[in-house]
Amino acid sequence: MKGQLIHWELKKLCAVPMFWIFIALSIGFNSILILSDRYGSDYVSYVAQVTDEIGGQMGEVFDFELAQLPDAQYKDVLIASTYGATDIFEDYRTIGIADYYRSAFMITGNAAELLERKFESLQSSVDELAESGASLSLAVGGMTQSVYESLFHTLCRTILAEGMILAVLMALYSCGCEGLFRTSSNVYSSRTGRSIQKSKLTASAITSLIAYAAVASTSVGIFALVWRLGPIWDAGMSSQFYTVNVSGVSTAFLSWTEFSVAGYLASVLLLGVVVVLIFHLIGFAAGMLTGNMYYGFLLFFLFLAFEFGLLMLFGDTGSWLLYQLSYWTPMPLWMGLNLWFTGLGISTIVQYQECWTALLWLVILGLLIFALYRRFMRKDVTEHAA
Amino acid sequence: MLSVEHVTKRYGNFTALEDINLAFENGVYGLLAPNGAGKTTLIKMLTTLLFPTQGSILWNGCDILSMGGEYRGMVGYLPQEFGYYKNYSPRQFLRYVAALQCLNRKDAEKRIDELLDLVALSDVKDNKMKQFSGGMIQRVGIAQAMLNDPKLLILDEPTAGLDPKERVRFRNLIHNLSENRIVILSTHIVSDIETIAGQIIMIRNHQLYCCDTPQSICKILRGKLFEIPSGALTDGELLLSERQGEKGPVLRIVADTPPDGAVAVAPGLEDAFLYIYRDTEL
Repeated sequence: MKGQLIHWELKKLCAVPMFWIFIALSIGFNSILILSDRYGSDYVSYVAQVTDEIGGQMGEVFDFELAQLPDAQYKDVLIASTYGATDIFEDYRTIGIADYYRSAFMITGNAAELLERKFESLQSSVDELAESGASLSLAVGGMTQSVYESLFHTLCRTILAEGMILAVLMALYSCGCEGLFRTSSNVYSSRTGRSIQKSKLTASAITSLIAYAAVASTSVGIFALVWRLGPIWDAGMSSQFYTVNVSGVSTAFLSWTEFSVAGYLASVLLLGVVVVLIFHLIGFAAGMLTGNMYYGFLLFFLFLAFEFGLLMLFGDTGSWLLYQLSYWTPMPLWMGLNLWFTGLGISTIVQYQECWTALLWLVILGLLIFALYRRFMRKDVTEHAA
Repeated sequence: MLSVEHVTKRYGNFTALEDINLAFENGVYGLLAPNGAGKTTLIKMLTTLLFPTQGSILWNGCDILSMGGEYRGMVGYLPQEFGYYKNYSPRQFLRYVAALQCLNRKDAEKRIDELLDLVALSDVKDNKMKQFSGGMIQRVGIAQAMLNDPKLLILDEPTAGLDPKERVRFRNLIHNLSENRIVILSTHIVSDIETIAGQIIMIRNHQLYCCDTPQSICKILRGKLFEIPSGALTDGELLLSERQGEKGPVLRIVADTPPDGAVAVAPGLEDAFLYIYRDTEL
């Protein structure tokens, strides 16, 4: 019976024209983002071809084999950027980053200690990256920065934002549509009664995830078609051609474990699923708390504004421990997407903090929704609410 | 079967209903009171949409709130403002209600066809409800309330939007249904229940005024109801209503002694209703 109810709730959600319009607009917007930034695609194709022929690991053998390749438009440019490349992770000391942050931002006390501890533990990951020669990955050569930023900083962040917004809207709509159609009395006085909320929660989560999957797969598919990365999908994320600028420090991509482009993309999109679920739960909780779609959205908006406000306040006043603590919340999770699975920045203090934050919020929101559900089961139903 | 025991409902400082005691057996009960008297509040408590502040409602001795889905599965309910999904057809909507009532799919299909036939919507069963008139929507509402063959059928203002023919049809339908179930029909339209309700429940000043047969309620005006030609009323004469007679307007009044030229008339439920709620703005 529960399956049948979920099916009906799914039908209700899919019957909302805005659901399909939003998905179409998201895909359209992402396509514009991808297609409007195709500068250097010939160069990328050439690097992909070279990687196919001689591999994508720089070093003496690579230099020699590249020189033997037939002349091409971008051969000299590629030689210039790769010749004599050395492993930048050898003798790399992460504690130097912690020292810089401590002095530049005047971080002291527990906040400094936590930061130091994190960068100390990052050292072993960097040593492993050095051992595998991760920084010598050719990636996309001189276009690495641009391509990686397009894919992760811009596209993935946009996909996730779209998924989050739609998840909140789906949750609020699912929670409040009975009030909108004045069907609350009928629905909540039926045998299923108020427990329909469980089906609503499940159905809106399913539609949110389907929408996210549709937008993500289509957008990444278009990106793959436009850029034709080929073997570059297996290139390393920690290539020396890719640097990340965090709080004034420009450094290589120091991830906790070595990632290929495809692997990192899959990991980001997978964690994105959890983030979308978190925002769906926030939307559902707001809907249940207010009993009204519009007030629910307002509450959600206030929650985000409050989060931003706290971050700004703690950052501006130099309350670094509170700043670090405030990063254990959903919004900074999305904001820090380009640093996921790395140990960079002053805001994170433990290994894979984004994963722990996501898990923590799944638990918190799960408990909150359980409490709100129990409250709802004993709450009067008024026609215009719920 | 169903009993309401010392039920009070308060919203903050406002008391919507106070110390209501009622017992229901199979048959039709008319819940008659002006708007705002607390009819819908009582009905919503019977359907578990509202929770009593004090007191309890029992079904065969069990608290309906503890029974939960088991109780609600026996209830058919047509709310005052019947909401529906505009893009659904009546058949789709009834299928949805069947799922909410946890009815077996196959049985539900058969029942849906029967009910759509009963409420004369078979011809439009697959048309979207956004094209329907108010009366058609109300008939869908009646059908959905009867979908689970309820032991307790609660209808809040069920004839709103129905034309006279549909009203009569509806009254006959309710009369036939009442043999083996409790039917509670809330209305402020006296003619809806005058002929079919065995018992009339009246709420006044947020308290139970009476629960009695229409005949007993009408006794209150026996020998006191008169019709007089239009003119000025004297002290002790209470105007209930006015109608157009053969020789001009006729006033229907309540008085302890018959005025000159007055014709004694038999009181109806509407007279009793107007008399009981004479101080209430109708």
